Amino acid sequence: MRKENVVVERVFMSSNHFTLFGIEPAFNISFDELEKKYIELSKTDINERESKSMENINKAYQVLKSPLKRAEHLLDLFDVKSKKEHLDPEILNESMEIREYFLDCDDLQFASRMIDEKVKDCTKNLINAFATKNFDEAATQVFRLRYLYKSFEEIKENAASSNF
Amino acid sequence: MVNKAGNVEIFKDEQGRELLPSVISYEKDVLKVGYDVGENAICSIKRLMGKSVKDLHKEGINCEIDNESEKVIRVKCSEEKYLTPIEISAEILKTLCKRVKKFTGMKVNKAVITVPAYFDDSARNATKYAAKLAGIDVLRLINEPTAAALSYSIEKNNNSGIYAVYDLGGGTFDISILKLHQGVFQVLAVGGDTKLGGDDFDHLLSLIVLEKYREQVGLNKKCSSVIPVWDPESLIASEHTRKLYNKNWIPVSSTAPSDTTTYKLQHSYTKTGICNIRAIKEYLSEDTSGTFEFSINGELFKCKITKEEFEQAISPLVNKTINIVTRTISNIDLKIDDIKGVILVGGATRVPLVQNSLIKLFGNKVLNDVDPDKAVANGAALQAHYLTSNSKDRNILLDVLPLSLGIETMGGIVEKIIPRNTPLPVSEIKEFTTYANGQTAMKIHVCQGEREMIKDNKSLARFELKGIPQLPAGSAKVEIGFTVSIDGILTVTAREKTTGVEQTVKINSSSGLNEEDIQDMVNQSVSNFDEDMKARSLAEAKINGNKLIHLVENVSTEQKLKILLQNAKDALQENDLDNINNAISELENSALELCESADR
Repeated sequence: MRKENVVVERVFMSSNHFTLFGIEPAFNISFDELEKKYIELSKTDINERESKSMENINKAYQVLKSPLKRAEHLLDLFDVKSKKEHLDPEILNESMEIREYFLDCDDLQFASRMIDEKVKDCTKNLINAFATKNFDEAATQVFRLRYLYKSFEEIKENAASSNF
Repeated sequence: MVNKAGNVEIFKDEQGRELLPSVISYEKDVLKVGYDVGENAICSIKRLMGKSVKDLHKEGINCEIDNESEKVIRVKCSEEKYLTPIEISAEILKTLCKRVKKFTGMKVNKAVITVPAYFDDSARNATKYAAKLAGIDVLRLINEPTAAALSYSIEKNNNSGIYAVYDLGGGTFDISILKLHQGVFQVLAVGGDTKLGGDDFDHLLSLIVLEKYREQVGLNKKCSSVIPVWDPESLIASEHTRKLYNKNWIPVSSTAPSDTTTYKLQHSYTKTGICNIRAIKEYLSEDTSGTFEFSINGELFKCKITKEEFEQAISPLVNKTINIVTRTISNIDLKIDDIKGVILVGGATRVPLVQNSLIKLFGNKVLNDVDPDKAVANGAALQAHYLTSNSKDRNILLDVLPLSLGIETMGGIVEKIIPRNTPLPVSEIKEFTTYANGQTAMKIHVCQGEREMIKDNKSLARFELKGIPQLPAGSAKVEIGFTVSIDGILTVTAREKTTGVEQTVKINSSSGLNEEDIQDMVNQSVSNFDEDMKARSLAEAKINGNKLIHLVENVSTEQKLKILLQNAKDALQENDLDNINNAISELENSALELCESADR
């Protein structure tokens, strides 16, 4: 990678992914709308081999598509500092419960449904938090979502390995 | 070739055949590609692309390689000839180029080359080098399932919805989930197994025969090859539903096929053992059983094989592919119901068990009205056409990274930098720090795969970033950047932030060849003719030398000759033509002198 590319990359990293897609910065966005924009943008990117913009389009798409990354990006945009030191005891409790539950659970489908419910609840809270501009609550829910995703990945992996 | 009407025409060879099997053989310095190959033909070379000798041992791939080199795989093609997988692939590409040249008089300069979607970075690089070696500039590497989807969509004028492409070729298995938008092919996820294919079915079939042979003969003897012998009389087709694609079978009589038509194998198809086994597999795809005759260890052996036996043998492999399919779909949070259609690609999808298993999973959504042998080639041709013709309504292929990329951190644990199924091109930067106080260099080990531990993944490259300023542990900041091109090829940069010390690596180390090696090989192939002549002279000199040694040993026990004999034998162990010639001619002269003096 040439030097100037690195610079371009870094400027971009602090930029706004919503602007690139022409979407108002919000947590609650329509996936269909996002995907439609993504396809439109990739079509206009004419010289796909040389172009750096396709990389940016892909990056923005990956961020906006994922509820977690989208929420983190929004917090970044609103300049909300994450409070890593201050762990919410409720979230900690929840994640401990999930972990314990997995240890002696053999119905992986049930487990994944349970997490799915929790993810939905968390997403709902995030929608509310962002809508009411309650960024502290949003940051807390982002933290929770991160935990939930991680557990979800673990079940998926377990499910995959038990298939064989 | 895309004709004026926008349809793809496939170039045929002189015998009117469209397909070129990717097998080669090297016998008596004669290279044959595709058809009429010798007994020790090499197939499934795709599996070895980008692999190192270590990978072979790790993955238990069985092939005869030269044991001298530790890194580069050289496959044994004949007693004297060892070739790298890259060279073998290049030969196959060259044969295709020759066909085009013969047909059109034009040289192939640029090409779109397809690869299994599940190919890792080093296999993709190896493919690019093979093209370079064959004198082709790669316009773009595209994934085979994507190409198939492109051809399907154009052919059927169907351009929306989520499709799965199930691609089971001779050597590899691929599954891709694509979403078709108007003119944009968005790959959502890929999965697969680069060590599973139709060739494994063939292998299992020959094991069935061996098993039956052992049962009857009661031997624990090792039988290396099973060569079917064809007796047209014993093969009576129970039905005449043989479809046209099964061109390897021709009716014995010239009358229209009936229930009792006897089929025999086309002559060209009966030469190699593995192809013959494949023909039995094709036979069993349409008939429930057949009696076949084989030659094992030089003995004739006749046995009946039923479709059931064959299906039982291959079902673990078929199930494995089905598991990969369901996992790939659930990994991106889709359900079976979300899939609008399943496109079948690759010759091995003709095996009824494969089709039935897919129908069990997807119901009537399995589309088998696409020619599994040509869909990929058609798609690639269309893409090459779009890329070179500047037409406005061209199709856009949005592919993804098939396997996660990461680097090794302390304790051999992998830190993923780019997860799999990320759309390409992509670039990602992560920051790492030093582990020890005053550490001035950092070893960077790049790998690809889904496992947690580095040793379970494919190692792509190792390099060292030097010149890190002496700082307490954890204070230096090293940025590692991964960029993956649209072809799926990775470039890694490492940069120390305070000093700006930077290093860039293109990854191609694991195939054991560096840029120079490849350039050498390219140059070599230009002067290929000379090289081949040399190889032939060497082979001839060795044969003649051995004859002479044998002769002299038999007729004389003269002390003087013994030394020369030893010299000649030593020289024959090496590959230096001059040395061999010298030693042999000395031996010859002395032997002649002796003979003359004895005559006198």
